[in-house]
Amino acid sequence: MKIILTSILFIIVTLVIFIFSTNLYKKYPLPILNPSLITTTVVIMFLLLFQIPYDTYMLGGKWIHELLGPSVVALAYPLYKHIGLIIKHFKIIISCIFTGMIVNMVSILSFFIWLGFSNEVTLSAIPKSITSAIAIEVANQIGGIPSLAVVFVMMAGFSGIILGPYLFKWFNIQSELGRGMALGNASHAIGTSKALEYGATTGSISSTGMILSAVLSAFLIPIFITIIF
Amino acid sequence: MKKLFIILIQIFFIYIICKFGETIQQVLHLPIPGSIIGLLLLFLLLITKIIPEKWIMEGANLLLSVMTLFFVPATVGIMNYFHIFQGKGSLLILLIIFSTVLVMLSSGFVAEKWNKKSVGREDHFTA
Repeated sequence: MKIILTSILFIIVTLVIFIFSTNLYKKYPLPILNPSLITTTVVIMFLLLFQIPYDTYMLGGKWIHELLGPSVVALAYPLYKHIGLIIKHFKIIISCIFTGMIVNMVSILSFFIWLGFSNEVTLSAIPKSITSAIAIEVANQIGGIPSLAVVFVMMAGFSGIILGPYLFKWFNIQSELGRGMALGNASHAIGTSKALEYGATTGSISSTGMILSAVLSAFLIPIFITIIF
Repeated sequence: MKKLFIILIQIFFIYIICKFGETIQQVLHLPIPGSIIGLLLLFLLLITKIIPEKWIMEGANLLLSVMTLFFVPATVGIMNYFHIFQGKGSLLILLIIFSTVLVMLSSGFVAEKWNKKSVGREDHFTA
């Protein structure tokens, strides 16, 4: 009985904080007020304040987590909606995604191994360019720490939208395809929100890049990791 | 009320596809996350018109609009790993930023150069 009540309490706490931070973001759409960043921070502060261990929180949290998988499955729908775009630019899109994936993997592996970070931390950083929901699954699969992976995913998202506009200017990336692919492949959903500011087409390209690169990474990263580790 | 019921049925349908994907993953010992198998399954069902778009449209849109909520519990787990960012760990943020810049530039460049080549063709995108 106590367990059921605790579970319900944590579900409600999470929901209330989520609704609050979503409304806050609607009112002040600043990148730093990103709802997942605020919700996570406030939940952690709540747990630390009342000295509640993570495992206790997860009694309720696991029910919310249960819907993570279905929301990944739901990404099939926007992918299906953009099928025309994918077919039209198939070669470019696939080349961009593979380039991004290889650059991501090589840069993370070389920096992290060079600086002597543990395998666990390195494996959590490899999925940093994929959208959080899928990054969690991939981190689980390859032996990384899922929550650490999400923190890296957020860092990749924020650095992408803050630096993206400068990079586009300095390196003369002007086209909808170039910007959309850059933001979607490197900075996933957060990048896609920025891409939408450049226009609807850039936004669609970015979201296609985000979903396709996540799906391809989910296939290739685990295989690649089994080979080298 | 009826609309809410339809959305719930659709979410349940997507949930079943996800569980089915996870079962396939476990039975075949695939190294790919089960939800990704579910995603591909749903994509195939839609593209082959085996199921019409309207069967999942509203449920999928709702799940996607609140997706942020679903990864909160997993992310909160970082409270057990704060020590990773101490000492040498403070470099992590710089490494992630640098790697993100590289991924962004390389992806953007490939698209940009390729796109320039196709200027003059009817289907290219312009700035």
